[in-house]
Amino acid sequence: MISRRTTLGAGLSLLAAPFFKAQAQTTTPQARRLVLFFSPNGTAHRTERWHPTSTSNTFTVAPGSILEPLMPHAVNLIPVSGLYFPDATNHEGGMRAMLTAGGPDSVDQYIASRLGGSRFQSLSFGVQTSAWGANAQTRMSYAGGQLVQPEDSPANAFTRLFGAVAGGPAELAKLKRRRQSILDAVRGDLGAMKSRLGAHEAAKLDAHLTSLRSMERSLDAPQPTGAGCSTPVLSMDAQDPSNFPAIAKAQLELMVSALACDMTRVATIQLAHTVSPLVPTWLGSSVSHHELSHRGDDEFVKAERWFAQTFGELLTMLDARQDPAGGGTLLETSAVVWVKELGDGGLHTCEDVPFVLAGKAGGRWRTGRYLDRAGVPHVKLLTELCQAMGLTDTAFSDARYPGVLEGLS
Amino acid sequence: MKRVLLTGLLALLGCSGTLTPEPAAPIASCFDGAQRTPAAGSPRIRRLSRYELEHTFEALFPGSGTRIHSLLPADPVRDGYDSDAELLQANELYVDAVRRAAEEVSTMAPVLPCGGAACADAYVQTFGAKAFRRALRPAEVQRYRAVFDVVAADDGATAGAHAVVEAVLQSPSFLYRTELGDTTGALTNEELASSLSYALWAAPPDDALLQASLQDPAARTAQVRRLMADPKSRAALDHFASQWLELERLDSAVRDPAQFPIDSPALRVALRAETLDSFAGAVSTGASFSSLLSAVPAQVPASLVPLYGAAWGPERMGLLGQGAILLAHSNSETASPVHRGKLVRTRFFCQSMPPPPPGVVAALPPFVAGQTNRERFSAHSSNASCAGCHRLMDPIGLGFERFDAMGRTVEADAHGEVLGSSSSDGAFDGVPELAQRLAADETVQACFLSHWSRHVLGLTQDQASCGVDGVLPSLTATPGSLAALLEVPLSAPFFSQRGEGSPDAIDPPIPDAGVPVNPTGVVVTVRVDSQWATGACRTVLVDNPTAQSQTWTVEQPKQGQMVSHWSSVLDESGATWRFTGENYNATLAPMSGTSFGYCVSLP
Repeated sequence: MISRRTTLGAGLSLLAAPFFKAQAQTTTPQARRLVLFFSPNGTAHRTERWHPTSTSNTFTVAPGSILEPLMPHAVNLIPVSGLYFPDATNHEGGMRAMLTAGGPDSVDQYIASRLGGSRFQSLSFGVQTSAWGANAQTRMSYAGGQLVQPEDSPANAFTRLFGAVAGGPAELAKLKRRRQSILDAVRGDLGAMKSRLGAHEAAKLDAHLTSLRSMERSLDAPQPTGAGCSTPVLSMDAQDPSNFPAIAKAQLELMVSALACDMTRVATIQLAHTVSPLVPTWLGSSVSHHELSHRGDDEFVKAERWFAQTFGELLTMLDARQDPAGGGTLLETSAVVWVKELGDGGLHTCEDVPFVLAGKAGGRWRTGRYLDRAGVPHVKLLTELCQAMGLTDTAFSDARYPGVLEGLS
Repeated sequence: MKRVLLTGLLALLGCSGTLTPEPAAPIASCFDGAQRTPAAGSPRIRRLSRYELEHTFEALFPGSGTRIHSLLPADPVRDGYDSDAELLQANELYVDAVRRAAEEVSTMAPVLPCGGAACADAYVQTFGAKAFRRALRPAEVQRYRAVFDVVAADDGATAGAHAVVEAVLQSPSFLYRTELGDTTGALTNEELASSLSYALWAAPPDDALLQASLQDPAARTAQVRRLMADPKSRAALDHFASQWLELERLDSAVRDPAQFPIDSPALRVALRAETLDSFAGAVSTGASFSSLLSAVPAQVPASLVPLYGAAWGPERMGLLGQGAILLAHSNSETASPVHRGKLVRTRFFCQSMPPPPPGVVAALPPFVAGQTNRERFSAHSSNASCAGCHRLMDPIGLGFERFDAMGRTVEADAHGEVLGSSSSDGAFDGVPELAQRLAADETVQACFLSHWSRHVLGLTQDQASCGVDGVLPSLTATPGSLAALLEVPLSAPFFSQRGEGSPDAIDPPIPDAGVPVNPTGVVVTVRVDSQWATGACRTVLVDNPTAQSQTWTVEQPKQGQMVSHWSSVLDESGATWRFTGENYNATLAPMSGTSFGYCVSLP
């Protein structure tokens, strides 16, 4: 069950209260946190470099295959193959449907909006996602049909998470008074402008008001203290491709710190985006990852193995930190998923899309196995994520495919 | 008219069957002189893009623009343009980044030595008018004055002034521009001034523009020409040209240094400058749109001699011969006939191309040294599921084959062919023949007009057309100059007129927020600052009109759930919410007042 943390103000508890009623009143173990990790351009199915092989009680992978770098974590993994995205295909369609199943909200934002109660409803990190602006190719998360922006800059993310002004109670009270007076004026202006608008345009300012409120809540929440709650980051050019590995590492550390300091229950990290021009120069490539994905050759597999290794680093970090709410390490309390927008990159179809589930989800998932679920819509996995996080939804976004993905527990 | 467009698009989307002449009628009809009433728009607001906000901060606080760029998240884009009024909305990361930007620059604000109320009000009015691009209304002055008072009471007048700046920079009146109009739907002078300056400068209006009578067409045209002639127009022209020609690809294109030792960051900068200079130069010299496509530079800048040689050869002409475009529309190892052909289709013919069909292995055969693109890309025409679309792109792109992935001249067969255009169809040899054909094609100019118009008006390509559902007027002939073409959307009725009025009520009405119970004799006014589907925020003004000090209590009916409150102490135990003051405002001196506020969530 979800406990209301005493650190929350009374107002926040009240705000969150209605949502608790909607949560499962059941003894099934639940994940406390949801962590999604994205890397682009599908995988190498045509050259058969992804699928593991099931053995009696675990699984194996071929030497040199994409998942091999993850095998030190095998006991914490459930690779899932065979899932398809209903009514979606191609790069852009896959990116759009991967977490939304065609609906207005991505599963991370949907869950986050129903959990509430944290300093940040959700945190979205990015690594070089924005050179082409924000569009259906470059974004995976949606809230109410609007694109959700990941923070691409570790320096900005650091300030947002850990950059609070220190001070005694009197200083903080003064700061709060100051901030409230500013927000009061801003809200006054928003109300005045909104009173002149028709419903269509007023919705824009409603989005602004909601965002302002979320920001205020995050500023008002108690600032984290203690070891590991302020991971310093080096200043670097967040757009330089050669910095990609360093930025990814910094963002992963910030994300894990935010989870370990209980700043949020839903965190995502998006590495590049579909059709991204990213060239894995640090692996010796001179061709973009997208071009490589069409070939599906050894050079592409090398890049995919790097993403697998990076996902493994995330798992190592999660396993090294205790969940502040108890229940074991973050890896044990979280539902972690490596998501992709396509099955085979060369075919650019949304069939047999590879997913890697990781973490114990609070004891809900029985890991260390490989699941082949050929011909099952990925909607069921998204519904599973909802239920794993304590929601009672029986079909996420697409009512044609009710039920959760079977065989995980 | 819309039906015609759709039919045309569908034929193209399938890319199969008989090709109908393209582009569709709404583009082609831009210069037929037919009398039409362009579609009227509804009142709307437009959030400034990150690019515009950078330049707006820069205008208020010189030197701050770069920092704003690094703080703010990237904007949503449609077809490569960051100006779509529907997509530009606030989100949490944006709002938080704006707050940080405001906090950081507020300390750069000039601070008046304020002693009294009048001085604080003057400060609010002066800075506010610069930021809002219009005079402040009395209620706004009051709101910011309240910020000043709260903060100045704690930390002095300087801190109070900084807080005012911070608040103003987070206001929607700073972050958005309005196109709401007066009672007749005519945009106000101030609205027109901002619309013009953001269109042509990507920055706020100057005093001369704000003081001009912009509802007078002649005066407006004079201002348009002044703005376009001003060096500040480079920011807006460069931004548009970059997006039109997809130059963001120039930044993200990676070239292997071993294969292309000529490549360097400095070369890319020089290439970008060449393309942007040629566009802005054509505007400022009164050159024609066609000349953009057909001009050959008199001189090659020293930085580009390694790429071009001392002068352009006969294989190179106009925009399409420029290295920035050729490099940006290549793959990492070879030139890309697909990207180059697609650029011509989408940016010059206004035809959209679908992505490759799923389930087809879209990998080209591996690059083999010595093999020509013509050989390598032949799979596209032999495979039926590819050929439908690729015959619209590849034959055009193969006409660029005399330029490699860096845009250097190479020996190659550059025979190309245009199919399915309005009047540019036919075989050609190399870029110069293609460029001259496009330069002579009126629909190419109409397409350009649509691109420019959608960008400055914040619309989609369909809306920025000359059909009955479009907002552009039809001209009797193509304008003689590129600059005149750029003026078209700025003199369109859509630019200055909305379909219905949306007058400023000066002060918004105060909806009934419940009757305050007032046990202590102070005068209480409740103002609803904002109300949305699931919540509301209210400010309660507490005034003591008496000659004695008063310690106040205000009760409010419990409507919704309390989310936050400020400048007050709340007792929720009773049937009503009972607010009292904090230490600093609990007791009001005679003839003085205070305010507190709260936000509720509503079921």
